[in-house]
Amino acid sequence: MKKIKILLICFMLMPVLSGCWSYHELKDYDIVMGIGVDKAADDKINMTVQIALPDQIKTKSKGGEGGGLKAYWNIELEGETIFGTLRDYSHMSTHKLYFPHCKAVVFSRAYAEAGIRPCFDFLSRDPEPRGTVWMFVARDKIDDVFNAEPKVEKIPAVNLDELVEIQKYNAGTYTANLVKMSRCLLSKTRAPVLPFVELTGDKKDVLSITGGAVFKSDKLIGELDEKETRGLLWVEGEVKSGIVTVDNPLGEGKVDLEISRSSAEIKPEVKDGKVKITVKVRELANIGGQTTSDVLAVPDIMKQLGVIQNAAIKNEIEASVKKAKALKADVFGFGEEVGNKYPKEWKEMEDKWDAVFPHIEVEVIVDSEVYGAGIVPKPASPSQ
Amino acid sequence: MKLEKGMISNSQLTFLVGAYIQGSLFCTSLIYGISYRDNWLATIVSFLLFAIFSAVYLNLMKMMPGSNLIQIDDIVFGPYIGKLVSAAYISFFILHSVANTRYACDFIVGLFLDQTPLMVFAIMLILLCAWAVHSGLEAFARTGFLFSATVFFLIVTLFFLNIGKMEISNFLPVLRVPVMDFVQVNHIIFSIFYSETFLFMMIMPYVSDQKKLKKSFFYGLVIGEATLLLVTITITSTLGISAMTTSNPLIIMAREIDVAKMISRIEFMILGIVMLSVFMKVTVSFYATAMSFAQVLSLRDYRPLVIALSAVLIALIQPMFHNPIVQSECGEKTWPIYASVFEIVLPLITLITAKLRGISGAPCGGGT
Repeated sequence: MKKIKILLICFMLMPVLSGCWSYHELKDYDIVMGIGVDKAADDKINMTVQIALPDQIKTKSKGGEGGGLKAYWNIELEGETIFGTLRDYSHMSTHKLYFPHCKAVVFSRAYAEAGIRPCFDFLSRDPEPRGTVWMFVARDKIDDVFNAEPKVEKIPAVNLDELVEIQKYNAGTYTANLVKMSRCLLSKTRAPVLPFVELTGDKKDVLSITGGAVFKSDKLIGELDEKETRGLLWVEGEVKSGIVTVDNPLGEGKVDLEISRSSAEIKPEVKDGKVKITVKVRELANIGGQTTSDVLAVPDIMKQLGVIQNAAIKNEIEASVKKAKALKADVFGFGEEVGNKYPKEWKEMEDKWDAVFPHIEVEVIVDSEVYGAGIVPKPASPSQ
Repeated sequence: MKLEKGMISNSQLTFLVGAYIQGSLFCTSLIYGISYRDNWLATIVSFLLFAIFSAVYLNLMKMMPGSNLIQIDDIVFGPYIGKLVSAAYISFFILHSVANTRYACDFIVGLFLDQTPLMVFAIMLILLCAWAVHSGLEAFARTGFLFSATVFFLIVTLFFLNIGKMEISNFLPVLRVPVMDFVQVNHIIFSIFYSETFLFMMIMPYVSDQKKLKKSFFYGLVIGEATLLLVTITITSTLGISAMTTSNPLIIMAREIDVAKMISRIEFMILGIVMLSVFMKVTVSFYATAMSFAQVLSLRDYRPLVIALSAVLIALIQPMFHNPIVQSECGEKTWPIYASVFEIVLPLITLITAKLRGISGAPCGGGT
C-alpha cells in the first residue's frame, strides 16, 4: 500500500517537475537590440526593429573577414500604435521579438515633435524592456541610423549604447534612460533632454551623438548645441571629464585643461515673489596640453589659468541658461529646487512656471582650480 | 490537553516575527501608490506606534499565560460570545492567508512567469505551506532564522548595488506630503506590515521563556523594520517620483542595477526575497488558521485540518480579487480599514473587557 502511495505521488509530481511553464528558449526568440520610431502619413507610425543575428557576430570575430554579412537585421512596418505594430512583426519574422536586451530607442524628429509619450508608455509598461534603455532623437533618417556600419561594434544599436557609455570622458551630450526620462515626464515643470544621433564623416556613415534635444512635456521644441549641453551638465554636476580650452594667459596660443572632477550646488531663493537661483560649480582640472612654449606650470600662472577657466565655464552655463530661457524650458529642474525649499510659494508658482522661468535671475559662481600639469609639466623647448 | 506539543525558543520567535514582517515587502507597491518621499519616515513612525500598541497583545498574553488567542476569547467573553469573536478572527485569518497568497502569486506570475496560470503557482505555494504547517511549529520555526537572514542579506546587497544611483534630493522636502496621505501610508504600513503580527498570539503561548516574550517580539519587529527601512530608502532614493507610477517599485529598482556592465539583470534576487518571505508569511497565517479552527472545534490535533484548509484556501484564491488593479486598490483603501477591526479594535476590546472582569493569570489547561 505504501509503495503504491509513493508511486502515486511520484506520478503526480511528474508534470510539475518537468520544467518551467514560461520557459524562454533562446532559439525561439529574436533578440531586439534597437527600436526606431518614425512618423508616417495618416497619423500612422513607421517602426524599425533591429534584431541581432548571433551567428554573424561569431563568424566575423573568428574569421577576420566575415564574408561581409551584417550581424543585424532591420525590419520595418507601419501601424497605428506602438505595440500593435511591434506584434505585427510576427508575420515577417519567424521568432517572437524579445526586448530585455534592447539598448537604444531612436525617435525621428517628426515623431519627437508630435510627442513621445505613446512610445514611452509601451517601453515602461511592458515588463520586457528595461529601465536602462537609452533614448535618442535622430537628426537623419532612422533608416540610415540603423543601417550605419559601425567600425568597431557590429550592431548600430550596440554602438549607440557604447557611445553613451563613453560620454563620461568628454561631457558634451546629455544622455537619458527610461527611468530618468520618466522622472522628467512626471514633473510638471521640468523639461526632459535627450541626445541627438547623427551620421558624420565623409561618407555619412559614422554614428555619433551630440548635443541635446529639448522637450517640453513630451514634445521636441528645440535643441542645445554641444557647449550649451555642457553648460546644462555643469549645473547638474554631471561633468565627469572633458576638455576646457582657454587662452594662454602669457600671450598667444591656447591651453587645454582636462577636467578631472566637478560638482554643483543649486540654491534657490524667493524674495517678494521673485526667484533667484544661485548655481555654484566647483571644478578641478589639470593642464592637458598647450600650443605655446611658455612655461605654464608655475603657481601664479596656474592660479591665473583657474580664473580664466572660471570665466569659460561660467560662459557655458550662461549660454545654456539663456537658451533654456528662450525656449521657456526648465531643463535644469530649477522649479523642483524652488519647490523643495519653498513649498508654499511654489504652489502658486507651479502652474505659471513657464511664464516665470524666463525672468528668473540666475547667478553662476564658478570656483575652479588648476591642480596638476601632467608628468612632463614643462614644454619641450629651450628655456628662455 | 495542549493542541501544539512543540515548543520554540525565544530567538526562534524573534526571527519568525522578523521573517513574517519581511513577508510583506512586496506590498511596498501599496505605499508607493500614494506617496514616495516620506515613506521611510512613515515606516519609522508606524514602527514606533506599533511598538507601543503591541503592548495590548503582549499584555493579553501575560494576563493569561499559556492560552492562545482563541482560548483568550473564551476566557474573556465566555463560551458563547467568545466563539463568535473567534469565528470572526478565523474568517479574517482565512482571508488574510488568501489575500497574501494571491498578491504574492500575482507579483511573481505577472513579472516572471507571464504565461503560467496563476492557479498553478498558487496551488504549489499553498501545498508547500501546508506541508510546512503539517510538519509542525517547531519545524517551520527553525527556518525563520535562515530565511529572515537571507532576505535581509539580499536587501542589504541591493542597497549597496544601488548606491551609485541614489540621489538625496529625492527625499526633499521632508514632510511636505499632504497630511492625509502621510496618515494613509502610515495606516497601510501599520496594518499590513506590523499589526498582522497579532497572528503570533496563536504561537506565543508555545515559546519556552514566557518572561522574555516582550523582548523577543520587539527584536523581531526591529528586524522587520530594519529591512523595511532599507527597502524604502533604496526605492525612494533611486527611483524618486517614478516609483509612484510603477506597479512594483521593488522590481523596477532591482532592474535598474547595472554596476560596471557586469552586475546587471539581478531581479531574480527579488524573486528569492519574495519567495522566501512569502513562504514564511503564508505558513504562519496558515498555521494560525489551522490552530484556531482546531481550538474552536476542540480537536485534539490540528493536522487533519491542514488538507481541508488548503482546499479552502486554493478555492478562494481566484475569486478573492478580480484583477491586480482591484487588488492594489483594495490593498490601499479597503484592506487596512478592514484589517484594523481585527488587529486593533478587537484585541483592544478584549484587553479592556479582561481588565474590567478582573481576569488575571487564570491558567487555562485544556481545549475550552
